[in-house]
Amino acid sequence: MARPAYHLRQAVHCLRQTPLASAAAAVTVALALAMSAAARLAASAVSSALQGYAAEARITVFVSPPAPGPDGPPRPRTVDEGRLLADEAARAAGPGASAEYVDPEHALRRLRAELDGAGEALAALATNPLPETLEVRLAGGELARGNLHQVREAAARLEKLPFAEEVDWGRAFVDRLEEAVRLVRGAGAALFALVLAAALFLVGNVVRLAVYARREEIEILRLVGATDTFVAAAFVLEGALQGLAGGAGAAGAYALLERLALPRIASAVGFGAQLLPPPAGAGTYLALWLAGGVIGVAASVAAVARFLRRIR
Amino acid sequence: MKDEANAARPAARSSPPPVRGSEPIIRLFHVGKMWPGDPPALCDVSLDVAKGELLFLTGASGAGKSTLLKLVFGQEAPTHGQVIVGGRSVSRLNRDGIARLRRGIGVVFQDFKLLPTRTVFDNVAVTLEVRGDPPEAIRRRVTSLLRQVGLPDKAESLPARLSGGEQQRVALARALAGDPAILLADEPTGNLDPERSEEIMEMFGAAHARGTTVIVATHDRHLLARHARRVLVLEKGRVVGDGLLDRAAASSA
Repeated sequence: MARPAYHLRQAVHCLRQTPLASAAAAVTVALALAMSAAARLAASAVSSALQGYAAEARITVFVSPPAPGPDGPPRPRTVDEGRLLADEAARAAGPGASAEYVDPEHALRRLRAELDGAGEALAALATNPLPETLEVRLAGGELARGNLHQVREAAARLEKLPFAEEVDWGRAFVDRLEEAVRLVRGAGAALFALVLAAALFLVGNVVRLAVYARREEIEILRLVGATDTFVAAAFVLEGALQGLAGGAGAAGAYALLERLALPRIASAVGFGAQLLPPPAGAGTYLALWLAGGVIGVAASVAAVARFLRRIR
Repeated sequence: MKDEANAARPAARSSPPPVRGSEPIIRLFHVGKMWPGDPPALCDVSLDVAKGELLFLTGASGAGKSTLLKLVFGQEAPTHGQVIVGGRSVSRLNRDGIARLRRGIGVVFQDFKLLPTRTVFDNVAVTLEVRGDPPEAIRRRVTSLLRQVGLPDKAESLPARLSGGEQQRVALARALAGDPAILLADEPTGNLDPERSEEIMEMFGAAHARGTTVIVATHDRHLLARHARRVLVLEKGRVVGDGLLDRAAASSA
């Protein structure tokens, strides 16, 4: 572009000449981007909510009963021995994990308390059927935003401990959770792509109409010796300005959606903070703004090139 | 219309008449132009126009005058034959080549072709903007041209606010802005009163005097009688006369 100041002046002049068409193009870009971003945000929120369950993940390690002694039945583990096993399990589970030894008596008391009045029935049992367990909690920080595979990996490490008879970590639940997260992310990406394609189509048509309305001007510019690049420059700048305006609008709409609407929706459906994805940083807003510019430029280039091909 | 053309018709010649410059700047070799479903707009037209020559094209409406001009500045491509301008075959030029060719040709269109949303100043300046001239040079040149065509106080007006004659003068100023080697005009006085027509023709004469090759398409008999030297007469797309006009005969016809 040999004359940026000239082309910018012409672009601004044309925007002023056709305020309604320009506003329509900018609003179309803003709506399209905001809808795309909203689709992405919704997918992210649902994904966050699902992943949030992983933060609650608790792994139960059923401990093998002590080996029988040479003199008879096995001696029950002491609490200290149980704590040593818990420490070993916590180390195996990974950094930041904690483990608690739950002896059969403790487990029975807890079950009785959980069963409330019905718990009295447990008194009728001749022996305590509950096993010794280690209750392992993974680092909340790691899982709060979901990394379900860490639950799986920790469980695999715990299964390898010599005293671990069985490890229960809700494998089926986590598998279903992971599948659900994959589906939501896929649907979000597909929706994003669909809305973006519709946006490009809409913006392209709006810009094409604007170009068509000024076909006479384009023809005259060619007739007085303007190259295609010269003709297109002002239109492309105009498209970029419209797109950037639309991108700024989309960034504003996204901020409102994320900061005002989403917390209310999360609260209304009872998910609370679990539903909320990490807050968007300046990069997201910048990306939305620039995406508007890119859409405006792409639509303008396509529209002008298509028209220029028709004239000599 | 046909009578007017006949009155100004020079004898048909087998070879081009002697011209001012020795080297042709425009050459047409057996050029034809056809659109599907229509009779030929031009048929087997061969023509040499020398550098610095003043040529009038005449003929009835539909004779092919405008088409011939369009072929010269590349708005249309010939169906047959070759159009050579400045030593280059117009039909072989790519789009940027066509643009460069047009920068050396000033054109006054029959319908003016002014940019409706731009001021008179910008309409004249656009010829220089596409060449990338410096802004200050553009300002000086455009101001000077608007003074020459008598529109110094209309610089900021939009074309729609001007009369037909004023628009014609803006179109002429735009055509002259780039100091072109070739000036083409399609019925340049069609919308003007006799006084304004004379002013416009004086400007063409001045450009011609500076060495510009000028081709004027007109069917105005009085204009031919007063200004024409070499006249090319077209009829139904064919050249039926090409030679120096006997002004006395044309004036008395």
